Amino acid sequence: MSNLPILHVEDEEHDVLFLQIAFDTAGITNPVQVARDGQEAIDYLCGIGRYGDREQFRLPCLLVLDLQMRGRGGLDVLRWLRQESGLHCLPVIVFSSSGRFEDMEAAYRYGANSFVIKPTGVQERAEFAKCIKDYWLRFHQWPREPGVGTR
Amino acid sequence: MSQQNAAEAGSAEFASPLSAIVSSAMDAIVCIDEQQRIVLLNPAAERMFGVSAQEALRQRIGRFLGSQFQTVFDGHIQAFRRKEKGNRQAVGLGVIGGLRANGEEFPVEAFISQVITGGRELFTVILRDITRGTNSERALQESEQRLRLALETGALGFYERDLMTNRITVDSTWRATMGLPEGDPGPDFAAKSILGEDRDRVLDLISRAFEPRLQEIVGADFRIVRPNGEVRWVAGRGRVVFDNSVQPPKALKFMGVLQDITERKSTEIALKETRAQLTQANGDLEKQVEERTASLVDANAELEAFCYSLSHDMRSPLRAIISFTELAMDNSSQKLTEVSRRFLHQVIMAARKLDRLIQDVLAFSRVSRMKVELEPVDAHELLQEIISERVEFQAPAAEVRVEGDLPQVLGHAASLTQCFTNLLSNAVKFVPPGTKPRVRIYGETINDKARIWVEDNGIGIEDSTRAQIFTLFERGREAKGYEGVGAGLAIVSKAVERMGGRVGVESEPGRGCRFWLELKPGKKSPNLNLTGS
Repeated sequence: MSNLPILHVEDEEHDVLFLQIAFDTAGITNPVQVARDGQEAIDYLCGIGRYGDREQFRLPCLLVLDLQMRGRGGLDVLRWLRQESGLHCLPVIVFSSSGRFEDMEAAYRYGANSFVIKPTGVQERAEFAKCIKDYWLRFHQWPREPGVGTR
Repeated sequence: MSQQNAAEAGSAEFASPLSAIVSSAMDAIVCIDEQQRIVLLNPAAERMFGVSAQEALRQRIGRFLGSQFQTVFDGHIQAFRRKEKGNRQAVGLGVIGGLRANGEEFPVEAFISQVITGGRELFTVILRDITRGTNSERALQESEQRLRLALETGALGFYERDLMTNRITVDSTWRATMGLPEGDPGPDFAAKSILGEDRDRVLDLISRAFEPRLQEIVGADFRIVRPNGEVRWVAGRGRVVFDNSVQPPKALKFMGVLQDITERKSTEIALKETRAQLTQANGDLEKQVEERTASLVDANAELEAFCYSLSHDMRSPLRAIISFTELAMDNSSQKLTEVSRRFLHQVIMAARKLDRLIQDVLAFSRVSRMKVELEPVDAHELLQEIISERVEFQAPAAEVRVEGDLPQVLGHAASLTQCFTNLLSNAVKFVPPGTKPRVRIYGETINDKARIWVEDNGIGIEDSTRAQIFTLFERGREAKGYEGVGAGLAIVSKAVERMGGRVGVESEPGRGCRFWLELKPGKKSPNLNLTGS
């Protein structure tokens, strides 16, 4: 199993904590990198600004993306990502507070791989983390160009 | 001198070659004195009136005139007498009515002239019977008769200008309208009375009436200025009478009628102003509607933003409350007393309930604002699908049966799914403990409405609360102790309303209830089936 980081894009502090706890409970050992909004996520993926060090900030193997954030939101990230060669296949799970029809529709249109409504309780969240571990980190495959992002 | 003598004197005057001409003339020639008594008449006159000279002499000429022409005739005599001595040529009286001894009236064309003989005034009236006149003359008579009828019934002023003699005849109504109580209007008076602004338009129109090819009646509303400066609105109609027996047709006379329409016109003007004001008011109203619509759109957008915030921002702290409480309980499970554990559990339950509430409000507002486009929906298929998707609607949890063929309805598939899901959820939820839910679904068509029934074996609804259960967050008393916040039926009601339908319930407490949902039938007319085969 890959040990590449998971990039969690989330501006709500407690949601960052809850998902980390769920990952721990599920036994996910991949490091979790956090971007606080869409712009930070794009900076991270480009390896610019404070994310310039690719050794420290390696390209992720999975994006867990909140939609509603102050500043640039999740849809902006998706739109940008799907046009980036080398990254356009990076798996993205949209992790949103609500299942608003328009949000879901837009997320899939812009290339989300999955849409999940944030679970309310600790236990459901742990189950979700387990699914990530068993499916997205284990069986899911995507074409990674060798050397991309390792400069 | 006696009248007898005068007549004889007159006769003597004509005892000359001239008398032969008079005797053999085709036209009737009648001589009258200043009292309009006949002093002489020729054989043509005798034939015309059907009297002998013997009978006619010394009779007033009025006897041989239609009663309505007596005053006209008098007027002419008076006018004639007022004239300058040197200007007493023969004058045409136009067509007047003659009266035969047997009572028959007939049209005659009359001319009058005056002779002074022996210091006495005598008038010579020449009369031509035009009963058997030309076609154009007959037409003239008819149109004159019509005109007179119109004048009498319509309070119309009459104006006539003989184009041969340039003589102008007007009646008292015309005078009153034009503000000219007395005196000869003269040839220019009428045209000059037209308000400058309207004059060209009217004269232009009148010149059309003189067009022999058209021979049409012309008419216009225009303003005249009375001699005293007063401006009046009048409606004028006029035509030229032509002699069509000659080529080109010869214009004989211009006849016109005039009606004072100042009152009507001012009403019209007032009406126009009112209409303009109304249009203005309408415009204002439309603008107001536009503004209100805009503000409604704004309000709607605000509501949308509010709901968005509700779903995202308010659920986030709830997630935090629930999760942190759960984590705290896990973390310190050893140290918590049983009571503390129960309290923390209550915190979680309350927060979860609030979360449900928020989700239901969102669902309700979603149904209220969702774009609903109606189309034929196969209710049968839809229900089978709903049942197959949820274990709680299936055996062994419950027994849900769709009986017979349900009617097709005109609805919105997504809204209908929500409605049936909510109704079925209620049906299987509100059962007495230990009872297996049994639900029957069946349809009927009443009065061109498709109705679908959902009947359960649940706890039923009391009469007193039945009206409230379709209101948001209102629950029947029976529902106490059952999960839920009271939004399900409110959502159903709103969704059905949006689809132009109705929803209702029949129930006996303790014996279940029957919910019904009524929509227009989604007819599958073969004529309208455009998909073809």
